[in-house]
Amino acid sequence: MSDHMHDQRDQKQQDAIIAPGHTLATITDKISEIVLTPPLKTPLGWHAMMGIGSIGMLLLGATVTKLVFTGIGIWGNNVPVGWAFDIINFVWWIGIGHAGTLISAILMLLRQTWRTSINRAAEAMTIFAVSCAGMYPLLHTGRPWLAYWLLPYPNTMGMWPQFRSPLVWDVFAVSTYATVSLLFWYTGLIPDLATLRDRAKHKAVKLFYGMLAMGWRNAASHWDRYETASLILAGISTPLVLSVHSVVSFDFAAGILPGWHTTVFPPYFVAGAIFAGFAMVLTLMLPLRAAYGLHDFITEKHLDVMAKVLLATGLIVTYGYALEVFMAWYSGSPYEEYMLINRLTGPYAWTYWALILTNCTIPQLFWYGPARRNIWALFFVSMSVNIGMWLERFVIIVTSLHRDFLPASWGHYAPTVWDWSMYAGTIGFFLFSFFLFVRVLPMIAMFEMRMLVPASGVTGKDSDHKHGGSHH
Amino acid sequence: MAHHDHKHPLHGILAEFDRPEPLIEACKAARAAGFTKIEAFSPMPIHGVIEALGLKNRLPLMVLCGGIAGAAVGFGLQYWVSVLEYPINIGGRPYLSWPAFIVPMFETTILFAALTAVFGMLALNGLPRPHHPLFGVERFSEASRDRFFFLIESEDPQFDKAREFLASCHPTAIEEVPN
Amino acid sequence: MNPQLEAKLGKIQKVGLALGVLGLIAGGIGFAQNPQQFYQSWLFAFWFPLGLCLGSLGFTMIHHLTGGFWGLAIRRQLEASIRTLPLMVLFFLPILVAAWTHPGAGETAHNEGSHYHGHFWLYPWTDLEAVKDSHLLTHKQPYLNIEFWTGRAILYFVVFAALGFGLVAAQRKYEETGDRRYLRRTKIISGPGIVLYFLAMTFAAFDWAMSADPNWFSTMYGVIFIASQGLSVLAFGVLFSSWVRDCEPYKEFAKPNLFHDLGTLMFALTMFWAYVSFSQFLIIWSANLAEETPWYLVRTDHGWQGVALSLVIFGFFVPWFLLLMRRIKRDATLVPKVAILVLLMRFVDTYWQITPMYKHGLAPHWLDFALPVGLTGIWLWFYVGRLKAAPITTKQHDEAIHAELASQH
Repeated sequence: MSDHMHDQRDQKQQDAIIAPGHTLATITDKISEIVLTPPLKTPLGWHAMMGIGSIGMLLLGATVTKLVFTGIGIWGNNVPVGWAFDIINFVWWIGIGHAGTLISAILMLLRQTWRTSINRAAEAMTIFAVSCAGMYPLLHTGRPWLAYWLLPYPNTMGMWPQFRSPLVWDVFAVSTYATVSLLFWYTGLIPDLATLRDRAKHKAVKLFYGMLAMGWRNAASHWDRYETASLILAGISTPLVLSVHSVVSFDFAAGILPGWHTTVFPPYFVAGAIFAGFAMVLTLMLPLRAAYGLHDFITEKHLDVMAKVLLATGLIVTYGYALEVFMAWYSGSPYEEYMLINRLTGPYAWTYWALILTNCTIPQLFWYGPARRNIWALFFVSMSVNIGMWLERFVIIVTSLHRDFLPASWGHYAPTVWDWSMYAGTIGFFLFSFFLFVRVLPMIAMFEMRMLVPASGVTGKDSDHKHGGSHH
Repeated sequence: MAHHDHKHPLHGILAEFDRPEPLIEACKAARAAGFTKIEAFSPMPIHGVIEALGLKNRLPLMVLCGGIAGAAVGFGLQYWVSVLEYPINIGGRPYLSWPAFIVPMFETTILFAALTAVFGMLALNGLPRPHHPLFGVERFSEASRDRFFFLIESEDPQFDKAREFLASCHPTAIEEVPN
Repeated sequence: MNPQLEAKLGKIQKVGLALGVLGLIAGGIGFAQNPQQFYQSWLFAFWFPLGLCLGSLGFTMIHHLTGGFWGLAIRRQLEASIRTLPLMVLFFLPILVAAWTHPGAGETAHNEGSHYHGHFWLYPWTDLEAVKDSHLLTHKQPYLNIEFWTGRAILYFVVFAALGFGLVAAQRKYEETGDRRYLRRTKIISGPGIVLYFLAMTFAAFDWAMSADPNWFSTMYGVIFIASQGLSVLAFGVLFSSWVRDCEPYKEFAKPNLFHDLGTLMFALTMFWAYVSFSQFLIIWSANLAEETPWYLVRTDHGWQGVALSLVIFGFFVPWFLLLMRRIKRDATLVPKVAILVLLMRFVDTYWQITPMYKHGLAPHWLDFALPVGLTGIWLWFYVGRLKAAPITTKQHDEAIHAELASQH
């Protein structure tokens, strides 16, 4: 019997989403301290990451300069592989961004309170990942300063976008997504910015956060509208995030190219995006948790749940791959069948098998409970998925394009040094922005954490059950 | 909170609490006592307070209207462009290719609804408003950390009874808020 | 069992049995008149109870993994539904017979509607003569042949039965003994179980429905059927919970919160079903390939376009809009009305998916009404029987529900 009780206590400790002993004040102080610390006291690891990010930024600057002055011929993509690194990375980055929206919106609607300690950072990740994603199609136009041509506006050429094209849908989807993500993130930040305004000692710092907080003063009537707005944003972001990656999948599936045209693409792309995004969240949060000692807020429970999400979404993408293989044969279309053979045994077959290894095989480790709570296993699997989801897009885009219907038009693709430098550059941009965020904005939502403190004994309307119902 | 020609020297009187429960009680008692210009402040949303103050908000309706407007704009734009202004034959598909139009229409619906939600919330809250008399009270900065406040504004018809009432709520402190 | 509940269940059971017997008698008459029509209507009718049974299996496994009040509150209903699986095997027999037998020379006239020619009841690939003439069917023969098809069907049922009965047994053991090892066992079954369920259900949808049009293919097909099953289970859960909400022990928890939770899930799945259905349509419409578009051309012509439109309006927009409203979701008298609409539209959806394969024009036969009523009636009778056969509430179950209820305060 005592064994049983011991079990239960262990279970409780493992399930805690916030370590015991915290009060409203300690949460506020601990999190705002990270931001309000003088620059010289920032952990060394932060400076190191910023350094790497800055080098990447320089690389990005150099690549874009070269690209704009020379043209996109510096990249390796050419007929028949007209899309390559630019679109692979576009899809890769935007997929990563989706986990942020998922964590902040869908998990909010599902009343998963464990999300609170990671949602702010995940949303920031979304913004920066979408920025990285957006760079690719803009630069791929070759004349990014004319990118506004993508939008429907009355012009002297008398031309309008062609709305039957998934690429135009993409313009709408991605720009809406970027706008809504930014609004959602900023809205979520307002009360915390007010906290920083109130906590800051230095006048300039106070002014900086004061302007950003827009005069937020924690009034109940404001909180009421604020929470309603947050819930509505969560409610509409959920279908939005599904639509964005579905539209990305339409870029491929609405065409007729074997390897692109298959009906299961939308849900399987969405699952892949969540898969990639959660992997990136883990990749970023594990070192941050260690560097800033956030074990009280990002507990084993969080790691366990994220590992389970990785396992589940990994199985969904595996389901997608399996159906593609089956249907390529079942369809009886010689082109589909050849696509399959080429994917499995052609010149790029190694990317497919590496994808199966990294995306389908390695995440199976998470069936084993202790692996879900072991940070090294978590880091290993999340890196594997980061690579795997990149390979997935490589397989879909390059392998399908390089040999299509007409053998006379077959070709080969190899990335150039500029392809790699651009990719490394966006990673640098991402790291730079993310660590800048960690330094100047609270990476954990303080006001939401306050709602989780058991001693406060009060709740907001994140739960409908707690709201108004007959249950009081 | 509106501006007045004859300014009362005080914006209001503020009571401070160290726990949320007495704040909820204060809200209920104040409404029962007939105070109308009241407001509560807390480091996080507290449902009990919002309920005790009997707040209503129009935001959901505004967002619904925003969303419908977005859908109309999205479809209208595509119809006008693809059918009226710039009809071109794309692979034999009809000018009015509604299956394709659903996607951008969906996105504009979401966009308009989200913009309405955020800017509607800010407008209804009267933000941005960088300065406010409450910021003059030094203790008020704790409202964003772990303290709870209850305010009776000077505009309240029963303001003369405010101090007495607040004292009866067992606050940890009472302060005047200069205008 | 509480006498009030017993009386109520008895009444539901009687109605189910009466409808079922009438429907099956009508089916027998129909079979004598027109066996082809009988098989076609049976295939369509089969999917609805199958969806309730297997969808419940899926939801039970998901609930074992994720938890939540809604699943505990309808746990007994889901379990009873899983235990109707033997009936599903019986219901499958006519389809098996249709696959193994062939119409006589005089009976093929009824096949005119299909754009496949040959001697078959339901599946064109069962006619070996037709297979020989068709390059595509010859290509697919390693998969679409009667022996392998039957073997797969047996495999699917074995998988479903092993998962379903394994889960129900482990759960009951736990409730009888209070030993948490059995609780852990339900989770151990559910993890891999949900994977197996998705795979088996996907291929069952390919085998039993998609292969009625063996030239056509879509990777999304299984997902649409799974979403549809989920919708029927939730809608039935809402309906049943509202029927018994006055009786102990349901009285305690069949409250606005439960209907709200189920309504929200129904709302989400309505969107998911619309999303996957529309995505499949948009992808095929955009690519406009000769291999794929005929499936939609057939289904949007000769009266079928009306059915398609009704799916858009009553299958998506109306329930979506109604379920958007909190007030409706929480109302134990209103939300069942939405659930009835959702259930009806599941019939319409399946009819639209399956029947155009056999009939180019929308011309419902009376068997298309009699058999769904009959099969669903028999299912309901059997289902309530299963529900009565197990304890509705146990100490462990009560504790779990109360813990969930308490966590909501």
